[in-house]
Amino acid sequence: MTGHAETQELLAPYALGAVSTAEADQVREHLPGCEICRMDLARLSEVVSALPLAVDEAQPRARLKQQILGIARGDAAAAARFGEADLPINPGPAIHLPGERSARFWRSVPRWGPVAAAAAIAALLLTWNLQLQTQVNNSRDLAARSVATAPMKSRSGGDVGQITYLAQQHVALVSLRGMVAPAGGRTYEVWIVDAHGRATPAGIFLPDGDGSKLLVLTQDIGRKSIAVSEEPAGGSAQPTSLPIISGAI
Amino acid sequence: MATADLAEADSDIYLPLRFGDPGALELAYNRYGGLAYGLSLRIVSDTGDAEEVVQEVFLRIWKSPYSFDPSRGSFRTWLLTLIRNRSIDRLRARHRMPAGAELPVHLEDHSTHSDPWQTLALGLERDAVRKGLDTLPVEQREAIEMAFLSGYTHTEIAERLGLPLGTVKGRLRLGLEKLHGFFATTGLVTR
Repeated sequence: MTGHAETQELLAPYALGAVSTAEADQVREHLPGCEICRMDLARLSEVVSALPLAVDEAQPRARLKQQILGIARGDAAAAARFGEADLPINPGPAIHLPGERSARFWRSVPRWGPVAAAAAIAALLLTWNLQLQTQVNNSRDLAARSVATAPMKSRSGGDVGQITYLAQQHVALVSLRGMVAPAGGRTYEVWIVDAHGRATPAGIFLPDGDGSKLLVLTQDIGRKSIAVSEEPAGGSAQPTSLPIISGAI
Repeated sequence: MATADLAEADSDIYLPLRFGDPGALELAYNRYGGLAYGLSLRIVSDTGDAEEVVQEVFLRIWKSPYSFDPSRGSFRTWLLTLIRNRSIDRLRARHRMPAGAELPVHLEDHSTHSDPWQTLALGLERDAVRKGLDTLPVEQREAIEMAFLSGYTHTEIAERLGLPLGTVKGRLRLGLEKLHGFFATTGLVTR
């Protein structure tokens, strides 16, 4: 355990990135239990964060920008192609979801609760069915393009759920966990966000008693992302706060 | 600056980045590419190495957009911290120096300016930082620059300058505290 005085001596070098890894570990070990050192470090680090501004800007060759953006655009194009995949796979039994493509699908869940639950279960079974087929066919590539999963992440990057997307059926199952009901009568709202960042409302919801929620979304999200923000009761036409959760296939 | 303001700074970059929009990366490059390259070039003193650092960092941002947490501060400081750390890595590798600890990521700064004000605001901030550095005694400024821009640990600085370790630690601390006092009068820091 590193002492307070020793840590105080290391705070400035630590803020400047001028300590050994062992010394950095010592500082990090001490910080959680010492508010004084945490506050001092925050103050010193704020100064260090301004130091790069003293440096003159410079222009690299134009080719560098082209290289970087070329790679990014290639990635984006590859991701977009996924949504257009026309794959010869047996989709299994048809699924008929209530309120399909309704912009306020979850708002009607209380009335359609049993049907929605049945649809969700059917969709989950379909997922399982397709995955089973995949195992039988031993075709990993086919499955990867037909049934895709991706994490739902909190703003801090924590894993708070999962999207399971059936590309051919345009059905996304979004399972969330660890949610806390918003205070003051507010609600969570789901957004479908296109590649340009434009958000379309897709329903409001509150988490279940255990903090979890299963959402069934019946539209093509191959080119899009799913985000959740906290909104005033009744939802908003456009997000009024930053997304707290988002994910993309 | 309020936390909400910090979270909003550069949200036109980091939010669409999370949805895989290459246009957001282009916006980030247009806004901060020159600053990022300038910082890396100042550290590594080699245009090829600096370009490689910039490419590495911007592609990291593209591939891992969630590694930036807006609740902890600004996108600009995060980006420049990555640039500084990768540049120091490259410098130390070139000189076969053992890796030191990375600069801890502390993101708070005040870059809420929209594009029309970007150049003017950055210029004002640059002037303030330079004036602050000019107020320092030479030995304090030298120690800070050796640490931040040359990547030396405080132990290495003491060896190079032939000074007791405690003296170097003291210069670094006094220099940063003095800068804090100066920056506070210009609005560059809030604490």
